[in-house]
Amino acid sequence: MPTILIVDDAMFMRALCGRLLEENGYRVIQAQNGMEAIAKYREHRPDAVLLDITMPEMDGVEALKEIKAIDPSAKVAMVTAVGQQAMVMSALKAGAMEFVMKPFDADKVLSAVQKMLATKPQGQPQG
Amino acid sequence: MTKEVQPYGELSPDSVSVGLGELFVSKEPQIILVAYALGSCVALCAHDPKVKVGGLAHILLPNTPAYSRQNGDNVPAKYADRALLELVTQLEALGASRERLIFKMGGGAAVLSGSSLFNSQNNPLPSRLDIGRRNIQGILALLYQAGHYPTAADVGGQAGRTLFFWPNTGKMRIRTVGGEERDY
Amino acid sequence: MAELQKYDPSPDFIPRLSVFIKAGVEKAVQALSKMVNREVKLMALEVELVAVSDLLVWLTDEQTPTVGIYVLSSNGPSGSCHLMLLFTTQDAITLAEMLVPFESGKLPGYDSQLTELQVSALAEAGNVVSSYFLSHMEKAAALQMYPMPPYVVYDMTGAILDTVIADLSSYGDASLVLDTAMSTEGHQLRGQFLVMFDNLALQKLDESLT
Repeated sequence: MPTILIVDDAMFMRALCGRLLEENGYRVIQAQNGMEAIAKYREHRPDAVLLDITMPEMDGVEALKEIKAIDPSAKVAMVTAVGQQAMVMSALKAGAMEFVMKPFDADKVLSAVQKMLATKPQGQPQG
Repeated sequence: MTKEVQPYGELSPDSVSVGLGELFVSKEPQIILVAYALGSCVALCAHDPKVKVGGLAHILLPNTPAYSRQNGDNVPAKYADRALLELVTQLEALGASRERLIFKMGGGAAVLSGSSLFNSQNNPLPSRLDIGRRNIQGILALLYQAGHYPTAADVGGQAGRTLFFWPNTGKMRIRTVGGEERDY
Repeated sequence: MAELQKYDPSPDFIPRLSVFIKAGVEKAVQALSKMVNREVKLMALEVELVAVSDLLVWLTDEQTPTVGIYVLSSNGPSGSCHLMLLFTTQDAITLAEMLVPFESGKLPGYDSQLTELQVSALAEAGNVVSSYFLSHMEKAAALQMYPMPPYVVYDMTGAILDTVIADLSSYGDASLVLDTAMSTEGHQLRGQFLVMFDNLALQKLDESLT
């Protein structure tokens, strides 16, 4: 059973996404901020990460860079809102594989996760 | 000052709603002054026990902003600095003595930071929106400078308040959205 | 209505702005529809330039217990925009239950409280609605503003709004208010969406929409 790490400061987003993924046969771990995400990544080595871009203290792009430093082959999808093009660009540069736009479709979340899991581990961003 | 006097439920035959930036003074025994739904706003009440007059100012901000000074907008109680002067002046016109005045105040909550009715939530406000605290501090400073202090204050916290004031007796009552009442 | 201070809009500014803002609100409400998985309809839309001191009188019954979802967006030189979604207690519960179908909760006066998860869901609705609205403003009027995290509150309407009025008053006496009613079919969800620009943002909008 693949393990997915969900990182979002909003409990609602973690709950929504967590239920969706669990119902579809994934094991889910949650973190509410960038620091916790890094610690959880180190501890659990999840198969993929859904990472919110806007979080207080350490934002998603910073957390992405740290995770990539720990594991260059980490598979990370960014969860973004509209109007975050600049952050999306820097996440792309930092090695994000997929993007999911809020408010999200269940199908899009699942397909982003499936795509990431189907990708062979490598250090290069796929865009 | 003329203002429509409306009957208010079980409380009294006559209550006067004192809106944001408004001020009302009275010596009528049947009158109740009401400042509805105070969030960060503060209602400052004053009462002279000897001549039995009182008044209420519904204050929005502690200091008059520059643009308002320039334009001279006519809202006597919107800003605490002018409100205190105006309240005292109007009470003196009804025979009160400023030395005898008793002050009470209520309001100044940080409502947006999450009402205490939601157990889990408590987001501190950025200083820009921390207006309730600034109002309380500003009004206290003005009172101290004028040689006064409030004998009762129901201020701060996260819950909005409706404040009732009996100008004739100086009684103040606070009611919160949950229906809880406190008398001062 | 008190005279507007300092700010004097060009003559056709309000009609032009209304068209622009309506499009922004429609985008925001579409995003909300997607979140709750059903169509949220705009019922009425009123755009008016109101003196800040008259806002409370203009808006609403100040004593009504209300759930407010509030987002402050600002950008130094471009001024500020206050976004507020207001729902009656019952409608807030309805919305929360639409957002989190697997949880139910109640508000004070309805025995219990909204759950933490429901409050978080309402905040997320505020996030989504405000980010779509602000993104429209940026695209259509090059007015870029950065939203703060949302606050979800339950109190009397007047007590929720007086902080916003105080903040607007610190910057000038003119405010543009957009008052929108929305509803969903069959679910009786009705709410108000208020957009309040400060003086500075109004002037920027006036310039960029010419």
